[in-house]
Amino acid sequence: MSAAEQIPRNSIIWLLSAQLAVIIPLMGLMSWWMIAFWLLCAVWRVAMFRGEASFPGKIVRGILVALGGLGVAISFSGLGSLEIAVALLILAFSLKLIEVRTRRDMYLVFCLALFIVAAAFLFSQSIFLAIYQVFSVVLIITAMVATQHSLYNREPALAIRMAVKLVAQAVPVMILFFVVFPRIEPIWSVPHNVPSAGIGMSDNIEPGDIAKLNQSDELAFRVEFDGPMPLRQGMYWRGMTLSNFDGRKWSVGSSMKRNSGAENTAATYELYGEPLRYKMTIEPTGKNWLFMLPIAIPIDSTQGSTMAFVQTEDFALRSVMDLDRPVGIEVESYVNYSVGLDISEAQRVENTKLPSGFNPRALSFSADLRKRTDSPQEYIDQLSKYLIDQDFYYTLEPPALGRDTVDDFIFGTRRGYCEHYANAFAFLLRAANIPARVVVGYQGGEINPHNMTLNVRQLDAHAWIEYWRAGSGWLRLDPTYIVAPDRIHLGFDGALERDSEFSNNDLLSPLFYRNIGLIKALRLRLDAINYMWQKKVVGFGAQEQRDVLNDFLGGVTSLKLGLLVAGILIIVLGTLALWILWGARGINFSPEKTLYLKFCKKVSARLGLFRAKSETPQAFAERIIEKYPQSAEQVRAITRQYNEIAYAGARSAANLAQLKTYIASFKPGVASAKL
Amino acid sequence: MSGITQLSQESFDSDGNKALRTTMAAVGEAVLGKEDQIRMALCCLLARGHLLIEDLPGMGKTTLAHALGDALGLNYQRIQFTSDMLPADVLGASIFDRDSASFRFVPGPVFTQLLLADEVNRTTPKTQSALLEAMEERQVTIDGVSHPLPKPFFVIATQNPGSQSGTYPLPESQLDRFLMRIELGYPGHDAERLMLQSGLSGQHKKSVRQCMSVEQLIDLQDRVDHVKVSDPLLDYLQRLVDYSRTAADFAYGLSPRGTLSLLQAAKSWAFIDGRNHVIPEDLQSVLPWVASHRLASTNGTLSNGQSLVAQMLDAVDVL
Repeated sequence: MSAAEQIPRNSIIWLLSAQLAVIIPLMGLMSWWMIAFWLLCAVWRVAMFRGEASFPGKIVRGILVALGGLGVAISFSGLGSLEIAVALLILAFSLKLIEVRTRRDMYLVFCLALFIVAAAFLFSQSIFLAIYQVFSVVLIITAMVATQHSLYNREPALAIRMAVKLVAQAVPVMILFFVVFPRIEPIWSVPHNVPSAGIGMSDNIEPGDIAKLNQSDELAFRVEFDGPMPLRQGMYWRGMTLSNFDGRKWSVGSSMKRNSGAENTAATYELYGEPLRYKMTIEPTGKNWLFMLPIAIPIDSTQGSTMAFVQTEDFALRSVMDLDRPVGIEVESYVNYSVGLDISEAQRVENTKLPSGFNPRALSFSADLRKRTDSPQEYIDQLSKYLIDQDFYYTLEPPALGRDTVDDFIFGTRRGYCEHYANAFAFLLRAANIPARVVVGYQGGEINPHNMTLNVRQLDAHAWIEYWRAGSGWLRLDPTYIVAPDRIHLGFDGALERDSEFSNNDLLSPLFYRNIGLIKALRLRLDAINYMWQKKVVGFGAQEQRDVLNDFLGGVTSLKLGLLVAGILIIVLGTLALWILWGARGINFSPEKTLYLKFCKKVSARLGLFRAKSETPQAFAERIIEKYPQSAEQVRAITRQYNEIAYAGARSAANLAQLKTYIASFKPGVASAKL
Repeated sequence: MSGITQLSQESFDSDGNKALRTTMAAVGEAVLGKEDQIRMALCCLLARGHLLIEDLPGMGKTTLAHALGDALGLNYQRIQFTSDMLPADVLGASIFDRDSASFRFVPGPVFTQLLLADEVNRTTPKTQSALLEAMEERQVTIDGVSHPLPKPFFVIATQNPGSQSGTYPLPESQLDRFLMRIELGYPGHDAERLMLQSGLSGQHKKSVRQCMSVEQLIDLQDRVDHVKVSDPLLDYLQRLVDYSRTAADFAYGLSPRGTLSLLQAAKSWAFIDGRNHVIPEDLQSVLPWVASHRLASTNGTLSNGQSLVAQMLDAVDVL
């Protein structure tokens, strides 16, 4: 191995730090053993570096590869092919560490590192990752620079400066391409990472399901209102209506499965007043439910959105495609409405159906109450009064309920969460033959004062009910509001802040820290920045590009686009060329050198002999003569003349003219009688 | 080298050249098969530089020094350095003279035309530096009185490779004072056979005939100064020096003294070759011996001065 191929010693440190930097954003994806695997390779590498270990043989490497592959097969069996591919990539990346011998291998590892930097963006496109990855790239380039040049290897500060310079030079080109490079539809399809099951709403609930959701502060969607924001307590982001009840579990009923425009539906509604207009950015859920302020009508945007929506019979919106990437939609909501003024008999049956054999005490309680009331409305009022009068509490950690959930809740624990109340209330209404159903969605949200967006998170998940009244249609009723008005007025966070009674005062819970003043301010600020990034950069798709170029060029044609790219390239390359020419301008060879170089050119062109840099004119002459003895005389004469002029101080017009004649009459490879 | 002499013009000074050739031949009879080293030593001497010979014991270092002294007709002294030697042992000392009731300076062995400093790295740094200062200043100052050294003054120091035990390696600053460092190396097969046949050995040293007078030598040294140097050659020299100062593998570059030494040695080499002007070949020939002990590589033991010089020669354009 020649010195040029050897890996400079410090480079190992650079290599390891670049690797670590690249792996960090993917730590969440990697299982613990992969981190251990990398550490093993790193320790091995360091031991090799210190001469305490040797390069692993073919068999050892084979075993490691097999073990790694097996590990990935086991750990990632339930996950998508993308995760498996990236896991294998990281594995290969780790293993390469113990195989690196020469500089070439190092470059391979660095290129792999750059590839992994790009791969990390498959899992997150946040601005924070983007900023971090800029540092990763600088680190990788630094490592490359340090490997390349021993001066940089010795002086890390110089290497870093060089890397920063290189990256900074690349930035304008990157921005240019980002703006003008055509957004080509991918010719291969990358499976999008769908949030793993358990995050987000499911289409059926049992008491306790939403409480689990409320442990997560993951973003569900963002809303930007055109105009003033409505009051938070009015913001019920309605998702699904659950009208199918099996005694314990509420699930999506038939009307959710039918579209509003379909035949034989009782989709009658009236909308009043001015609608609220807003833009939503919905995080991927892997499902197709959308959560809107009722009654929402998507605006057919001029941008030709790729999303298609359907409205169900219950006036919920559903996307045709599952949401497997963040989507933005613009919606108008009519918050004053009457829907379902007439309901069909089938619907009435579905929405009053109670499976027999569940909750006998609640049924008798209901029968009792009905006897004492005259109208459904009075029944509801009495029920609400009962909730207030009795000792009901709102808590995140309700005690477990038995088979008869309503009985246990109303006459037993009396501690519950939104879906406990919704469950009980809907049950009791149905018991009184009032059509009722559970609605799941989100309530409220957090207003970010920095960009006036409303962030709705999983912890804002909520459940309430809708009941049907003749002449008014479906009406919203939130039993949680009756028991714990703070939950609605202040939002989940606010209630948590003010009243720790129903919160889990767990210091280890990340929710506990959400509302500490400084952290909250910082969180909101960062959120605003990230939203901007998502909107302006990540969301810069083909349409946005067309818009920008339209503004800039006044109508995009391929000719104009071509001219733009060509123009920019000409400006960049032209400047570079001028600069290089400017640098070369100062080089002015002495006349004898110019002549001698001409001679060299002749020799290389005709005889195929090139003067080495270190070769003196005489040594070159010897070499020519050895190969072409017939030229000896001419070559010697030229060389002698040149040496005389250049080194013996015989530079005169006559001597130069003589040299010129010699070189002009020089016929390579041809013997001449006299010269 | 042969090709160069062929091509170059006829000698501009046949007298001096003839004397040099006979000197080389005479020394070559004592030190067999080392023509290049002899020529280099002579080149060093003509350039008024001091010579460091580094090699293992018994390689003929001392023999070469003796032979040179004899051939050039110089009076010479030899100091065998040991670890208990003091500066006064080299330079001399003021001694109280009872007859005249005053101090009298008794010159040390350094007061000679050719000084053979044997195994200079066996003595302590203090004594080393006393000698090396004398070499540089060409005078010795004792008790405030300066005593000039004879002219010419030429030191041939020998040293064992630093890895040998019981040595004090010369620091870079002192190595710099030697114009050249050469290595003798093992003799060739034929030369060694000849040596064995002729029964040459340390005990039966063959005396070398004198080929030149001291005045002649001084005259030759003066003439070396007048060898012409052209701008293109200085360009090449500066390119070489710049390379040593900027290339990554060099811990440090050539000093200005190193640059001057290089030029002086090249002139001397050109003179020996019978030319009155320096050509790039001269620089290339002396560079390994003038530069290698003044350079150090950044990655420690991986490459020594010789490989750095090779790198320098490869990388720098002659034209």
